[in-house]
Amino acid sequence: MESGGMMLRLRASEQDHRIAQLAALAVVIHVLESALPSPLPGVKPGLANVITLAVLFIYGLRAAIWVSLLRVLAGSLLAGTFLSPTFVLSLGGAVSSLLLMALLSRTGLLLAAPGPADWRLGPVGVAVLAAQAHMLGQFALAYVLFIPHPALLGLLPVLLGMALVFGLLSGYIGRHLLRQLVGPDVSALESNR
Amino acid sequence: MSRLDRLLVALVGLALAGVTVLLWRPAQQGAWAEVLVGAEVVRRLPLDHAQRIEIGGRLGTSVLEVAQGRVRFVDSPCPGKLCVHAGWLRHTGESSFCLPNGVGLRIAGLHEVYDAINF
Amino acid sequence: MSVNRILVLILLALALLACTGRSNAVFRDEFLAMGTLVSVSLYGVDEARVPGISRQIRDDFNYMDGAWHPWKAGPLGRVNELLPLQGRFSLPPSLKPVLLQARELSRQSEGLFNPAIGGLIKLWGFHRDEPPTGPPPPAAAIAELVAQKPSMDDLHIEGFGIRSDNPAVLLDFGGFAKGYAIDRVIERLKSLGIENVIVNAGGDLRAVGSKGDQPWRIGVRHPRAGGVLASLEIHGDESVFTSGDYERFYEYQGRRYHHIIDPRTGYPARDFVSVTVIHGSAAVADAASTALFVAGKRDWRRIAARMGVEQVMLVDDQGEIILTPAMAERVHFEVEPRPSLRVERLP
Repeated sequence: MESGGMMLRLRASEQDHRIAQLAALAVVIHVLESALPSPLPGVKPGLANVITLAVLFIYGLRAAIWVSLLRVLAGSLLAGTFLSPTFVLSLGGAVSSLLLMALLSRTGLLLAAPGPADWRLGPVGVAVLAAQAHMLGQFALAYVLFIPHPALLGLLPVLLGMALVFGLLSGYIGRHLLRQLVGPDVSALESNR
Repeated sequence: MSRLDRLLVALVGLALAGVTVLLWRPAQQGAWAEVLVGAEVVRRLPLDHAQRIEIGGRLGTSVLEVAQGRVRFVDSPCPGKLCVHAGWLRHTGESSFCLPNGVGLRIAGLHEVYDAINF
Repeated sequence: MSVNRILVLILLALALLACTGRSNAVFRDEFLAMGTLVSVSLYGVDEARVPGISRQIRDDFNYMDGAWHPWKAGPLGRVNELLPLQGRFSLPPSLKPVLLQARELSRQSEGLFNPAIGGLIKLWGFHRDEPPTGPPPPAAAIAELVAQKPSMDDLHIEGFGIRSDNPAVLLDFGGFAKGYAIDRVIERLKSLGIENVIVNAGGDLRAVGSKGDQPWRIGVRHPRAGGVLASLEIHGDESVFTSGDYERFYEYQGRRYHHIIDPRTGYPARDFVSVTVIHGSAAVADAASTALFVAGKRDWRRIAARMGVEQVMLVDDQGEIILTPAMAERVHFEVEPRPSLRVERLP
């Protein structure tokens, strides 16, 4: 791959390809979801996060960050909302749930880490916590940037309740997906990384 | 699900119940619609006076309508039109926001607007 | 294991944190006293003190209610039994300051605020907690009581002795007791170091201080429609009192008979539907709102000036609103379309 004075070396591993594919899948889910009607205006199930979740467990935090941010960027470019308030809120939600995942990953709480499985977090726990973090981050951003009025707080119970329901939903789907991808023993993942 | 999974899901559920109790207010027929632009209450529209007004936000003009003790967003320059889909608001504590435009609507009762009523 | 424990503890702490705090909130307590709903709003008070303060206020109101009820067994009830006998008897000590201030305000109002017409109030049936039903009392009975001209000046108070030389004098502190009681309660709260409070007794209130950097906001109810007519913000320490024909009334054969009786005629005063007065003292605001309601369109400016009241809003039976210049400066009307206003200067 060498070519004269200018040299550009792209070494895409098989893992990079897999991550890129999964990110593309996340974008597709994201776009499909935004086309579907929602039970509550403004609240979407966030099923694209199932992909982020699976990537977190299989390939680790760094890959999950890439998939999540690529999804937000590509999703907003496709929907034409790049750099609009919608994009800002979407990015804020993604960043805060990634921060939470980073915290869980760094403290060795993920099921993929060594230790007794009873005191490790599986996909359902991570998805529920990440959904809450996503919603709280988005909410805090909306409060600070758009309408810093206590009235907005009235929406919080409903929003967090929806986040709990959808967090559980994507957690169960994520668990199912992981079993399909790596077999029933998710804790055996550690050896793969 | 591991034991920690269950514990954390239960905790989230508990915290949610706590937040709900903390923020819950009994709903009553509202007295005013407060129009918010950013953090400011820019207008207080009495719900018993039917009217249609335009409020300027960061993107453009939001159109509000008061009729029969209710209020709603008729139009707003946001992509999702979530505020418009929220429909009519009538009871205290109900609210609707056009976040992109920075315009909000909130129903207030007598005692939220005033510290005391003289009669 | 220890990391998990720490995480769980942090989450628990966060959940608990959401449930505490709020030291800067307004605490409101409501209870029944003096035949009406009393509501106390406190700001900037340690939450732990609120129940104690609230109980103190309840006790004070209940005590004054018992002491000043004109017809129930109690200090004022006893005075009203003895007054018509026209002999000298000893005045219950707690009543003396009330009586003296009421007499002073009655004199300033040229007798239009007149607590000595308890007989007329009783004849109309407005002395009970629940409003009476028609028909109005016979004209002859009213005329007879009016002709006897009961007045606070018929009372002779020496030391703690009292004597009446007019058998028609019976005391009813209707347009005054609430204001006087609120003043006493505010005095008590100030002595307890409370600087930001509203005491609202059935719609008449005194507000002190503010809610942090926000002033207390008061809504004045529309005398006919349901909502709020006007709003105003309190500066420092002020009382807002309204006398209205809608507070206690009955209708008989299409005519409204309300509780604000004109001592000159013996009938409910007719010119206004509501009179709102702002003054530093709740007792003065209470007596003045009654006196100006009775005074009517011709005399209210003179009486207001004599009573030292500068901020007045009057709503007449046509819905027109009359304001003094000092009142016009600070009220904000909350009804649309804006009502027709007239500003009238005091002499």
